[in-house]
Amino acid sequence: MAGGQKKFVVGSFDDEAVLFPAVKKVRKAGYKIHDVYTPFPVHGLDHAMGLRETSIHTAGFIYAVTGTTTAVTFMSWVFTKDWPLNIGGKPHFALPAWIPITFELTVLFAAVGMVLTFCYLCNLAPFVKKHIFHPRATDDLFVMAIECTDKTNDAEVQSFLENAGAKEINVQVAETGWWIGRYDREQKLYKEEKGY
Amino acid sequence: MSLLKYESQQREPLVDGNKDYHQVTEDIVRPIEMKPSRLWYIGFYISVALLLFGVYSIYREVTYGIGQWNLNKTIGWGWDITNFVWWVGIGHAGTLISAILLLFRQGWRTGVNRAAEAMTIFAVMCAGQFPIWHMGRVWMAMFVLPYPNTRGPLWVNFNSPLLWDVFAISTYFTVSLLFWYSGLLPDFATVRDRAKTKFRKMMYGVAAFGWSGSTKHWQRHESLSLVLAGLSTPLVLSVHTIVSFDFATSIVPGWHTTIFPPYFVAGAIFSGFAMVQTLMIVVRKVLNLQDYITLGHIEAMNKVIVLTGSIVGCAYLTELFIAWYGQNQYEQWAFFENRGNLFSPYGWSYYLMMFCNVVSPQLFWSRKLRRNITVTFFMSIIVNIGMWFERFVIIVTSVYRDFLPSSWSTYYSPSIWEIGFYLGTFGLFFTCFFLFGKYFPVIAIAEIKAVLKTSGENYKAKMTDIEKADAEKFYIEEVEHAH
Amino acid sequence: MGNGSQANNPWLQELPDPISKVTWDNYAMMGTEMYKEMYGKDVLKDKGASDAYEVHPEKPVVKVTANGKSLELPVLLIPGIQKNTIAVALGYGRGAAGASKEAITNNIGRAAYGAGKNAYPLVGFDGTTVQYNADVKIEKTSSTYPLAQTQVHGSSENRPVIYETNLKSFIANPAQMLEEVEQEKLNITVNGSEDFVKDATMYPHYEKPGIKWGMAIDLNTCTGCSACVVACSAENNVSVVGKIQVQRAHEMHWLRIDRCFTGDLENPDVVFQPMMCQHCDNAPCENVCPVAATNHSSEGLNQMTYNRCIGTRYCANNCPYKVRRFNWLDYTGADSFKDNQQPLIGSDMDEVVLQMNDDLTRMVLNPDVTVRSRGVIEKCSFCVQRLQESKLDAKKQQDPSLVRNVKTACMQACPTHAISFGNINDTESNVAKARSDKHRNFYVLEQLHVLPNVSYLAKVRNTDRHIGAIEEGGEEKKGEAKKEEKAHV
Repeated sequence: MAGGQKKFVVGSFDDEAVLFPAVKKVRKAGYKIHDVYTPFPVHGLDHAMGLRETSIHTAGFIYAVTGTTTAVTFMSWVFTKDWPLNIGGKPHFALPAWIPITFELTVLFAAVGMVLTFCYLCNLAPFVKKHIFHPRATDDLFVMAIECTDKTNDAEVQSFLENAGAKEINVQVAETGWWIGRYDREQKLYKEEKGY
Repeated sequence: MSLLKYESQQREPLVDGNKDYHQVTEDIVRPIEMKPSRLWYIGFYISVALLLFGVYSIYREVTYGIGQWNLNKTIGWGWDITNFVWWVGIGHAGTLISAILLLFRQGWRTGVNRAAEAMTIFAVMCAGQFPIWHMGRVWMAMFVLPYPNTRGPLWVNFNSPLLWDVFAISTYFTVSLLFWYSGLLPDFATVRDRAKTKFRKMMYGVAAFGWSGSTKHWQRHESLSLVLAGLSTPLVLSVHTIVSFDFATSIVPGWHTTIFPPYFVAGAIFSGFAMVQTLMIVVRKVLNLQDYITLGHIEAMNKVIVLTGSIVGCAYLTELFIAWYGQNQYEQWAFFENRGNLFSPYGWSYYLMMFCNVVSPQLFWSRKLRRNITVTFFMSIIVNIGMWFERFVIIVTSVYRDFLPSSWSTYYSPSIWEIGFYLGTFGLFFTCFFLFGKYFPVIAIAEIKAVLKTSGENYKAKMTDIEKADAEKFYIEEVEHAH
Repeated sequence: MGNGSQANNPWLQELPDPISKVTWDNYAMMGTEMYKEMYGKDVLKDKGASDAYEVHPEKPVVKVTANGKSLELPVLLIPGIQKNTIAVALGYGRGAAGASKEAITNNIGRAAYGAGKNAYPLVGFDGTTVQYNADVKIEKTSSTYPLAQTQVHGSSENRPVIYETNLKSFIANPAQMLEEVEQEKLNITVNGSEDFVKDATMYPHYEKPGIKWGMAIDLNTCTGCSACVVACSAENNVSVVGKIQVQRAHEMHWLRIDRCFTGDLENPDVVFQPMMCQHCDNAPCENVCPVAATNHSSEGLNQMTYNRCIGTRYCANNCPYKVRRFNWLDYTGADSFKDNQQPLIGSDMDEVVLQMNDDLTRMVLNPDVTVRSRGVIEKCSFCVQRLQESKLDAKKQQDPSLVRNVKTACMQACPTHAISFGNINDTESNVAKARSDKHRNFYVLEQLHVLPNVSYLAKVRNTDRHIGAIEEGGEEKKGEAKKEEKAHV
């Protein structure tokens, strides 16, 4: 859940053409990009940020194979072992007739499994709340959050971002993880309320 | 400008008008934030009224029995399954647009995919009503699920096409819903972050699942969409294939036909696109989205309609040819007497189907007519009438006179409760669609933004200027960069 | 119905007339020629007209006047009726319209009330004898009246459903009649095999070594009397559904008699064919049931599990013989939904259904057979309750040959012994003997390879007309309710 609070320098860009070189510069300068929030998938940004490829599709393949196996073994077991019936004179092991269900279960397992995995990995669920660095990150701004450590000089980072083309720059102290909450309420974290 | 791909200047822009990212958000989210128009209320209440009539019709049928319908010992399925197949078919266009066109990298899908997917989901919901409520003992409907029980346990019959249907329709619904909803997450987040009222902030906050727009999330999201599209593509083909198996694997002359799977799929896409046209033409007008659902979109869909309509026409002719060539007397009777003979009791329905599905779409060979909104609107309705009759012809004209002439049926026409059930699904569909139009972003905001700089009208215009000014520079800066 | 004394028997009212297949009513039977003169439509030549006539239960009404009295009756077309003849059945029309409820219950009878019209006023009486024939005037009227027919199409359309021949040609070449079907069977049997059962399919063959039930029906001796239908209804608790439901083809009879006009339609012959569940070994109905509510027993029975049935009616669609019956409404009062009969009375359901469900009448139910509830499919079970009983008997007495004594209800009721039933693996059983008649034994729609367990023995006619000794004409059946008339329309 809560990943602890950290300090961030946040720069917002309004054009992905400016964002790309900025990302490269920031990385070159050795700053740690916490994340870049964009209103739509900007192709190639993940590479520019040095993120590794997602392997969610591999998970999907595994789920699919699980679905296929489940369907075939279950139907075979029911019709040949558990309760063999003479239905219309068809063979007990009527593989061709099982293709439709096998296929459907393959797709179903893969799709449901992948979506759940996706939600799990990205921490997505109803009532999940995360810190919003800039409300227009889902509208028209590309928001870069740079993580500050004790040694980082905020002002230096801010001016660096300004040079890189950011339109809005500020410093935020924010929760990095997620918590259960509603977006219509300013909620304090449990920890803060209790004054830890 | 373009970082991703270079698009030929010959292509029509996908987004008209002078738009930037913010303007896109404004245009699409505005209807959600405004009070609905009087027209919306009128439409919504009519839909709810129809829905209630449908609910009452089902209540009659469940309390008193299927005998409230005019089916009989020979015609076991009539309007119920006709409507089922019709609605499922309509659903197919949504998946086709969102999945297959995504795989084929058809940029124009972004304008219509959200609404088309919604249409898919609502149509499948409507379709699902029929196989459920057409059961004689719907309160025992859970028997179709292979759950462990104390009767043996007694399992289901995995060889029955109806059971395949259970799996196909439920999988189709689930996968479509997941695909649709995962696409909606970022757009809900957009609405959430702009929301002024507390209530809206909360609701869309819940609906967006805490989406933040993180690059890593987008990367996974892209991968997820692509795989889901890859899964949906064979899925959508399989669903109507399996629906056609209800007929194709039976022995009823006129049903027992190997051509059904491809012919049903083509027909499904055909009627589905017609339904998308009907809806989009209204939606773009009512919600003022002409810049996003352009004439180019309508033309592209009309091309699909003329193509699939002609495929369906070929299938009809093939059926007739095979009936003649196969020399099976029962099949010949089904095709040449029950259907092909205009003067037989149901002959009229066959010719109506031929006219609506095969003859009328040929209008769309003309570019002028393809781009004419009025013509498109009327054609879209005619096509769906035709496709309804296709299913009616297949189902009723096959069974009403099948093997034993001693059991040939009298004339079947629906009872008020059968019609009521059908109207009720219209009510359900449009109630859902009106709610969708009011509360959901009807166009995929994020996806539109992603194509805006390559395919938006204003950006394309700028690009042309650069290209003209210095072709070499343009090439180095734009095209090289893209790769 | 007889002279009307049986008119209050719901089973008989619901039993279709062997020729006209009409229930719950009387009507004016008319030949095609007269119909042509009156309505200008030649149904023998004009297919559109005959289709239009047969698919609509609403038949044109004529006003029949005889002996100064007149009656309005629907026209029922029956090919082969002499040009100047119409026939009206007596014994119907008990009770004047608008009779009090009490009168109906106590005197008239709830089944008889409202069924048909009373034709007795038309009968002449010259002081000593009752005259059933009279000069009659008939006039067209503008109204129509719906008739509840269980079979509307008369011909078999040359399908491999019914075979008949005459004695002369049968003796000359006994194999000729079934030659075509035998050849076709060979054509669809692969690898040069002659075993149609095993080698004309990709399905495996299920051995049924002990008992395999089978039925053979001799079309030669079947007279179409329909006693078997009533016996079946009584034995198996088959519901009476009333006129409105029969008119909508919702009748529940497990066993029906198919009537087929053959030969020259201006002067046709009739073949009767009892038709019930054929208990196919490769039953198309079983494959399509999603919940496996119908499947095959090791004794060759096509079993129907009412408790499991959810009522998709797919099996009924896929049955080539159309013998599966669906409980469209609550005919038995056995439904878990309360009060769902009374509101339908008059519009969808007849009073007689309630009559069949009252406490007294329910005592006619056979306790060995399940009363089916609304929404499930039912069909002929080969009287499985009797089969089980006979097996128990044989077991107790340690004598397997005792199962030969088993009789299905229809077989028991058949006055001409047209139906034989038993274990076909037992070569001494009647059914096995009947089936050994190679030149007459056939299965309906055998080419579908559904492998029915009911076989039929083809009809061989030996009337003068068929072997050509006597010219046609002069031979007219005189029913009790037959009236001649000078045709003036």
